[in-house]
Amino acid sequence: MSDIILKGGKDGFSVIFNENANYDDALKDLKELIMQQNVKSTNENDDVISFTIKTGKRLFTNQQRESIEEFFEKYPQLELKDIESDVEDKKKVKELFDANKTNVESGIVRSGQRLEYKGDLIFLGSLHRDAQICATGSIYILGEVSGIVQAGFPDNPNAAIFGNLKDVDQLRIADVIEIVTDDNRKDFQDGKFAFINDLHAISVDDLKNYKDKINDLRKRTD
Amino acid sequence: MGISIVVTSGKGGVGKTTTTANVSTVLASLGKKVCMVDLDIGLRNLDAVMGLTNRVVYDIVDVAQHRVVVSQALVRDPRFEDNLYLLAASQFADKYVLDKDSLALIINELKQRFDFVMIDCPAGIEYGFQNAVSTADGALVVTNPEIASVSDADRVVGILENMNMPITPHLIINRIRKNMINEGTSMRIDDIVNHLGIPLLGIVIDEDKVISASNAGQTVAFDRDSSAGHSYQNIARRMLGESIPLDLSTDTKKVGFWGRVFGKK
Repeated sequence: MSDIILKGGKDGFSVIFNENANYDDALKDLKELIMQQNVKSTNENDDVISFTIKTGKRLFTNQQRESIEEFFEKYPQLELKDIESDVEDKKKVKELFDANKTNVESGIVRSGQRLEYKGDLIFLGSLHRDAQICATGSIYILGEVSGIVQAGFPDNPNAAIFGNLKDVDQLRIADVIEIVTDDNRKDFQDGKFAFINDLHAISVDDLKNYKDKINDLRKRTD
Repeated sequence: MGISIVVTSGKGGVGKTTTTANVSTVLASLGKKVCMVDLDIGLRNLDAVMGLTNRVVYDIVDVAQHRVVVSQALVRDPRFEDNLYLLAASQFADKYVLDKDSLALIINELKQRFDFVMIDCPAGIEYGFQNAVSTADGALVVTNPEIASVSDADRVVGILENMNMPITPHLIINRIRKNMINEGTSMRIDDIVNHLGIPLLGIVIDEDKVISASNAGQTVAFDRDSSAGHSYQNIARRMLGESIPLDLSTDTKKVGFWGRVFGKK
C-alpha cells in the first residue's frame, strides 16, 4: 500500500500524504508517482496541472515543506497550489483566537497610560485626556472618553469605532488619524461609528446605517 | 510602627511643601509624633517654610552616606515640644546620590520612631519622584483647580495606582479661588473629584495669609481667622479618622463699594 493517494476533484488534483507514513517514504512515493506520469521537464505543453498537498492530521516542518516545493519547481508543468493540513499549531490557534476575542474594560485609563487589546474592545470605563486605548479589532464605547481611541491597530482598516465620539481627542483606525475639534465635534455626537472609507480616510455615520455602509464598502473594495 | 505618606502632585508650584508643613504641624499639635522629610534634593525649601533653616546641620544625604545617624540629622521644631521633627534635603548633593534602597532604610527607621512620616516629594515624575513614592504607604495628591495641574495629578494617580500602596491615594484641592468659582470660570470641585476618581481629603481656599505665614516661617494652620488654616486642620483630623463634613460652599461675602472703602480689615 502506498503512502500517498492521488485524488482528482472539482478543485483539481490533490495528493494526500498518509499521516501515519514516514515522511521520507511518502516523498519517495510522490516522486515515483510523478515520474510514472512521464511528465516532461520542458515546458512544451501549455496546460499546467496544479496540485494541493494534504497532510491530514500532521503539520510539516518548514524543511519538509521546502523539500516538496523544491521538487515541484523542477517541473514547470506542475504547480504546487498549497500544502494543507487538517490541524493547526497551538501558537497559531492562540493568535487566531486572540484576534477574534472580545475584551471588556471598565476601569479608568489615566493620563499617560496606554492599554492594548487583541481583538475587539467594549469600553465601559473612562478614558482621560492624554490616555490611549488600542485594539487590533473594533472598539465599542459605552463609557466616557477623551484621549485617543485607536482601532485596527496596527494595520486593520476594516476595524471601526462605535459610540458617542464627540469628546474623543483623536480617532485612529489602522494608519489613519482623525482629530476631533470644536468645528467638527457635532458630527461625532451620539450614536455614531467611525470607519475607513474607500478614499482611505475616516468617515462617520449614524449607527443605523452601519450594515448598509459596510456592505456597500465591501462591494466596492472587493 | 507609623506610616509614611508622600505629598505629591506632578506639577510644581501647587502647594506640596505648604501642604506638608501645615498638615504635619496640625498632626503634631494633636499629639502625634511627626517627622517631615524633604526629598526635593537641591531645591530644599521645607525648612524655610517651617522657619527652621538656621537649625539645619546635617541633611538626608549625610545620613544616606553614613556620615551621621538619622537622629543626629533630625531637626526638632521647638514650637511643638517633642512632636515635630524635620529631616532636611541637601542643597549641594546631586539628586542621584540618594537611591531607593538607602531611602527605604531611612524611612523605615523613621517609621519605628514616629506616627507619621510626611514626605515632601519633588515636582515631576522622574528619579526623585520615583524614589519618594517607592517608600510611601500612602499618598496625598495635591492639585489646583486648573487643567494643567489636574492633568498632571491624573498622570501621578495612574502611576500610584500601579504601585498598589497599602493606603489608596487621597486628593487635596489647593488654591481654590472663590471668586472664580462663583463666576463659574474655574473648574468645578466635584468635576475634578469625579474625573480623578480618588477620595477627596479636603479643599483649601487660596489666601494671601498662606504665603505671608510661610514667609514668616510659620504655618497658617494656627491662624484662627484663616479659612485655609481651618481647612488644613480639617484635613489632618480626617487623616486621623475623624469624620468632618466637607465644606464645599464657597460663598464669599461680596464686598461692596462701601465695604471696600470703610471695611478695610
